Amino acid sequence: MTGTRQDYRGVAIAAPVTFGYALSSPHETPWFIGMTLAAMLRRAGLAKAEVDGLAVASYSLVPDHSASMAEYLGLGPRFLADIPFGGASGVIALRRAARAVQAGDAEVVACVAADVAPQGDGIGANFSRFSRDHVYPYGAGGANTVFALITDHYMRRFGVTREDFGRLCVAQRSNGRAFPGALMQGELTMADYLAARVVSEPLHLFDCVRRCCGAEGFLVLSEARAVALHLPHVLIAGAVERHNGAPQQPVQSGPLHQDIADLYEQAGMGPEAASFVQAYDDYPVVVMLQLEALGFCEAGGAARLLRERSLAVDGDLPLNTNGGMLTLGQAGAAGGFCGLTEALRQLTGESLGAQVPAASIGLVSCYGTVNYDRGICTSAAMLTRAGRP
Amino acid sequence: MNETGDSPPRRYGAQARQLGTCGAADELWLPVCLLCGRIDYPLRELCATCLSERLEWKAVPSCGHVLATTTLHRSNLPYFRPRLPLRVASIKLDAGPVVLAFLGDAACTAGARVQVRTQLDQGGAATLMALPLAGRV
Repeated sequence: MTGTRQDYRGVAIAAPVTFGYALSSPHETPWFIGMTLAAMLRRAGLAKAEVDGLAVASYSLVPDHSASMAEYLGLGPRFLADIPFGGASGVIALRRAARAVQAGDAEVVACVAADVAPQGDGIGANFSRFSRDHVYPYGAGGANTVFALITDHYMRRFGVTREDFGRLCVAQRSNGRAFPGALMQGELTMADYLAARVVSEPLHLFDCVRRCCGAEGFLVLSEARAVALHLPHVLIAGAVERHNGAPQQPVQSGPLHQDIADLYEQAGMGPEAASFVQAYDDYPVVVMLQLEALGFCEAGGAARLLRERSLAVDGDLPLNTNGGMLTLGQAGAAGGFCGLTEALRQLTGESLGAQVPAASIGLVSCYGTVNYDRGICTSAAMLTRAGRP
Repeated sequence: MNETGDSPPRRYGAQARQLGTCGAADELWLPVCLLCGRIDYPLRELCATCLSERLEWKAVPSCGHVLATTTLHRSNLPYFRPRLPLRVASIKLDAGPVVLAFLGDAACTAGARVQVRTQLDQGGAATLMALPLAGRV
């Protein structure tokens, strides 16, 4: 254990909302944030004035930020957090909000991620100092370039094939077919996957998420308050984050998380205790690297794991039970929240799509911020259904 | 970024703008830390190892090996579209850092030895280009 991590006792997460997934929208990002907040408050039976903390993750909110949103939405929070960590933002927002509630700096923190689909070059042209000068001039392929390189390296190093990635994509699409609002509708067969057009070798169409508009949100509050409100809620058994954790890897190849032992020690249980896993899925190779880092198999063993285990919602390793971003679409920073909101719904029995039977423990793994040649932000949490014996 | 997207991307950082402005055509010049000798890439204003700001552009060993490759079949920028497909590689330089570079050979894959040099695009900004050498790692 790194230092002495305080636990997350007394903190609850509730009122998960998934809102407004669409390929385009006439609305701006603050509308998505406000509509999501309104849905969270309706779900919780809370008045807007009772929200005294706000955490916001968004790329397209520029030139605004969380304080701008306080005025835009008529809030008067005493705790604000801007969470510019893309795919890793969900668990990081949760960690910030949970500590604020534990410390008494806020009683009810609304965590919201929202984005509208980027136009033209989108965020690729100006994502970071490093990428705009050292990646973008090499063909302006966006994140596809970086993940094509990571995928090429992984395939060669471990003898992984396109069929191995296809197995994951087909399973996730199948899981997401019952989820309302998913942008990628319809069955995906292995033949469809293999026949897709090439984007950036070795990546093909169904390896790449579809950029879209959308929002995700949840409330963090005290367990006592959640109980008083009769709110279905979830508790945090453990949560970790790490940034630029393995710069010595010439190509990002795992372990993707550096603090997983800490996570499981804090949670008092290991990965096989989880009823399901939600893992960030901007590209299939990233899911494979997370499954390895989470301890479900050794480095390079994910292809075999996917052959041996069933990723279906009713399988023995339910993975991305809403279909993940490969099915929903990637709503910018909301993609960093959608695994967490889905985990909350699964654990409270409020699933919008297929429900994992008797789900009591959820493992959420987040990854993001492609600053140069890899994602440099990671976070993960183990969550438990409230009232678990 | 230009308005129409039919020009090559601009460079933003002073270091990126300085790339390719020193030395002979077959040399690779990068900032070297005068305190610890490290060479960082992407380029920075100070050393990521010892945080010294005493960096000096020098000719560095320009050979390395290919870590991974891709072939881009689509681009977000109109300038690149007539130039597709484009080969791009990550390369571990013998001098230390990992660089992204255009790959000047269609058959070159992971493990190939390459020499990296700078080339100027239509806007006069430098990109790195890797050309194959004999041998593999």
